[in-house]
Amino acid sequence: MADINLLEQRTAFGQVKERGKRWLLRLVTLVFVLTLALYGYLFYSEWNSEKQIAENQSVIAKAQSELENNQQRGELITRQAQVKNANQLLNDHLFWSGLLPELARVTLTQAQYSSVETSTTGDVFLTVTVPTYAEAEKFLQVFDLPEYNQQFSNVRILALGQVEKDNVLQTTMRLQLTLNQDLLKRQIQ
Amino acid sequence: MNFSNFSSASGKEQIRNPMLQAVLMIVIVVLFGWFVLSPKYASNSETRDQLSQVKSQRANLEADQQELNRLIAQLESSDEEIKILDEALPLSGRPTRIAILIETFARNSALLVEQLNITGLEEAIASGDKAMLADPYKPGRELRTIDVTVGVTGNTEQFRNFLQLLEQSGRIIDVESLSVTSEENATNFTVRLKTYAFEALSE
Repeated sequence: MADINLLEQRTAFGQVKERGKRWLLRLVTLVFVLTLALYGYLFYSEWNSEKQIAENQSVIAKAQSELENNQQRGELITRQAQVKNANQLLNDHLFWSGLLPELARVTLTQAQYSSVETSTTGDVFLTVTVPTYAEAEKFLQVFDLPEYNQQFSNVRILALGQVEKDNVLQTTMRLQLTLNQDLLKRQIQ
Repeated sequence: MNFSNFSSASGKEQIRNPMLQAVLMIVIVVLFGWFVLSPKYASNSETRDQLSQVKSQRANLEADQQELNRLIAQLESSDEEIKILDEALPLSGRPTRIAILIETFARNSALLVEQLNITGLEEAIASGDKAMLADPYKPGRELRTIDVTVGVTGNTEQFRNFLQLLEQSGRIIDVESLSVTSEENATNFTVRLKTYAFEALSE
């Protein structure tokens, strides 16, 4: 029967176990060193970031000071607001010179205006004198025709009556018309 | 005594034990990570965020500065346009200038000016504003509306010409309302106008 050397096997197993422990120790030491290196990197990174923040803040403060003390900045801001307001006013600009020719176009030849008033609401108030009630009726009928009521519509009679002038009886009407605002709007060249 | 020596030797032997050293090292790494590395990481992240914000602020400011320089260069090379702008919407609403302008238009249309009233003047200083003279572009200007009522006499064609001159005026003049009254010999025209100035109002 051959002899079995158990002592030798135990020694070999112990050596492997011992080597494993040392490797574990080396590994843990490596992790510790890496941790220290990471801390060093974070420390440097934070220091560097703080330095850059200080530099940037200094540049910002200088640039802001230059911007605020720029002599022409005030003029520029004023001009910008001036242009904005002028453009707004030009967009809302109305051209009233077109009103009188259009009013003449839709008026009977026998009718005479003794007053023409416009309001800010877009209404036109007219005082019209015609020879008879029949002519007054014709005057009103004109605004029922599509080619004549494009600019003036919704004719309301505020007063109607006859007065004698120079021994002649005349019919007078006080009217309120709605004015098409597009008549007054024109493209600015 | 011998027992004590044996115990001390056994303690040294234990410290040299790699397993114990590894466990100690792990404990140190964990404690270092938890109490030192983690707060450092958080503070570093915060600083980097701050840096990113500051860089973005600087980039915006530099862009603003470039834009300002571009606009100033454009302003300096736009003398003609500024003259037109100053005529359309002047920086001073001095009423005498408005009166002169409207009177000129009426005269050029062969109309007789019966009345010329300008209102809404008390809010602004017409002349001698030392603060404004020292800094003509100081902030605080706003659009001011000046109301003008003009009464003229003439015929319809002359009045129409007057309206056209008002419409085509270099200064922005809006007709707010008009009234025409016919009498025996003449036709009277009354126009309510609005013109504007971009000026600082007195406090």
